[in-house]
Amino acid sequence: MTNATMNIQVRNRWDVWRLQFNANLRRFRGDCVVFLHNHLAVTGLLLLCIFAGMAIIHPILLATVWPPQIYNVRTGFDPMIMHPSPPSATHLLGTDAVGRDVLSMLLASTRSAFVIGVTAALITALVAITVAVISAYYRGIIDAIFTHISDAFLLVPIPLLLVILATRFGQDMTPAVFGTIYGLMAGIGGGAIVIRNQAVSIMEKPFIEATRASGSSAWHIITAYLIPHILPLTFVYMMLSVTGAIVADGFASFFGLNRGYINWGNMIYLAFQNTAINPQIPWNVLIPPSVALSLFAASFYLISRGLHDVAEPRLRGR
Amino acid sequence: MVRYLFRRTVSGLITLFLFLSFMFFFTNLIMPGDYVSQFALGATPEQLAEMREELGLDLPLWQQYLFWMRGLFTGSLGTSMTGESVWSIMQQLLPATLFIFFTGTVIAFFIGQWLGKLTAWRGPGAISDTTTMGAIMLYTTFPPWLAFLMVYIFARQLGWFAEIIISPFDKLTDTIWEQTALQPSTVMWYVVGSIIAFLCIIGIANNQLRRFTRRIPPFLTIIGYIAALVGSWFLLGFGLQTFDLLRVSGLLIITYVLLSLGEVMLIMQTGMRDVQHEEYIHTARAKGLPPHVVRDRHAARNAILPVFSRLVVSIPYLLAGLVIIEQSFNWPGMGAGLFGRLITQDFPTVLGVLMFVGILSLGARLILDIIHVSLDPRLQYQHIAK
Repeated sequence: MTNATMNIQVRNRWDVWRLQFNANLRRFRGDCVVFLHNHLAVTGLLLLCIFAGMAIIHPILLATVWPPQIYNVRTGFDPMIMHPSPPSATHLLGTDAVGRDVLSMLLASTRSAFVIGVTAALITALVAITVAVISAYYRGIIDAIFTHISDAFLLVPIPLLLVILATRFGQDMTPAVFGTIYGLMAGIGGGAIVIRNQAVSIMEKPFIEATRASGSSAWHIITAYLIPHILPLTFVYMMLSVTGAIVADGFASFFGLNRGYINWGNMIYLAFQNTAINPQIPWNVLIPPSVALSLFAASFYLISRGLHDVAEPRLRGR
Repeated sequence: MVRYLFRRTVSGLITLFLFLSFMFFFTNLIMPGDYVSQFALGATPEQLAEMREELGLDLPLWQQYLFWMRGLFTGSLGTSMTGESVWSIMQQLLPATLFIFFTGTVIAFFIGQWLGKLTAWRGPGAISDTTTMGAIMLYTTFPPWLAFLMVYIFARQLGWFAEIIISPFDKLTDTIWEQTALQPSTVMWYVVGSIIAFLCIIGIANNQLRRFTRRIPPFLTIIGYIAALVGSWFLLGFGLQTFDLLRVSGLLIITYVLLSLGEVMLIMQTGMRDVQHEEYIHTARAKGLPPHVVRDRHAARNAILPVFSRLVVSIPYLLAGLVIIEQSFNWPGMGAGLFGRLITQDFPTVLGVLMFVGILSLGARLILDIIHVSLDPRLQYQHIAK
């Protein structure tokens, strides 16, 4: 091979790559337009940005403005006032019965919520795609086995399962572990079923047959044709699994079992526990985490609606 | 059809077996210690060993599993650690849960699909966006928090449904229950049965009924259906008792409806939005059919299919959610039994409850599959072709 032909080849490859990149960019822009057209999805994105800001600002505040001995989420205590205290200038959301700042706890919980959400979504997608692709490509007995396992996992009430797990491992549960367990359960159960159905319908399309006829390997068909076509639906499902994971995490904490880290369900649980001693209901501790939990889960749901619009080509024409 | 049903039943049983085996090993392996270890402080090691032997806990796990499975195949759910049979515990717990579950799910389904249909048909706008946001908030709300709010606002502050706060079953009106020999649990079974039977009759006779109801406004038809259902309760002789039960459990049913309504509405809305741009909808409009006919008969009938398949998937979640809010309301259903017995490690009872959750979901799945096939003729041909 001479130097000139090699140059041409390299140059061609570069051109092809650039054309592909431009086409993808154009498609991405079109997707963005469709996504931004959905007002609810934009609301979800804004909400998510606010939560991200909350997660980022907490360590910064602790390092600069808030003295850690007062605002630490576990050991903080303000000796200057009575606890529990209503909202005031120094404690914007008041303090709880033990004297911890509610706003600080609220901000600190955002980070664990993000970790749980992201791990749960990634693991769900990974497991669901693997199971769906294998059973849709090979069908037959493998498909039957996986379908039955998925059906069985679908029957498992996940909150209950997490309560069982938290009874044993409650002390040293971390958000990432929690998200992984939830992701495994949701991936093998609901996720695999939804995505498998899509994958099966894609495997019956004519272009798969054409690729098979031209001699493509199983690996090539799966990675180049099957997975790109089921990815949009998987993104929608990932967002939904974040919603599920956050609520499930709330459940496990609500039963007082997830003591390893601080989160919103934990705050609600502690506030309720306090009402047994002090009949006055601590609204300033109860309302912020409940609203935050709900809005956080809702923001991912809203984004999933926007992604659904993007993934559903029939809605494109509008 | 019969062959299809048979195959579905067999595969359902396999699923149930896998599920129960998984849960058996999961609960036994994960939970630390066993039932006896909670008495460890007050007893000598010999006494503990004796108790373990009595309860069969000294055997290796696989033998316990085999014993338990043998029990299931011979039709006994085993005995709980406190000595009662699991079946008798179930008989106390089941009707209360099923009563809430069926009434609540049916109400949530009808309201949810109706709202979803209307909001999707109106398209984006102030009203439908607000409704959608409300549904999303209901869908993502934290169930114990909603339960607490409902009890606080309605029962404690306003004084409605105040019976639910402590032991609702003791607050039943005596004079009503003296008129009949029926127990509350029996009446609950009857109500559940009558609702299922009524839905089946409407489902089967729907196409014949439509010939007569076409000219009547839909809301009158719905009122007629409800009147027929309530009338059947009074005719069969438990109408007053049912209303007494509903008075006591009203707040719990409302909370459960609110919790499950959002999901149904959102799925219906998505389905409607997807269907709206199909060509047959344009054809129906071009034919000059009135918009509500296009909406109800052409679009909604297709959009409702994903709601059914999603309902099948979410029944275990709905039950788990119900079990959790039952706790906040002191309702004597499965929720009251489940968590207490889980913490004391009374596994036969826990597994019994889980088995009923499983059977219920699989049964519902089978029934909804049949409805699905009857709603979607394409599926029927597929099954015959197989």
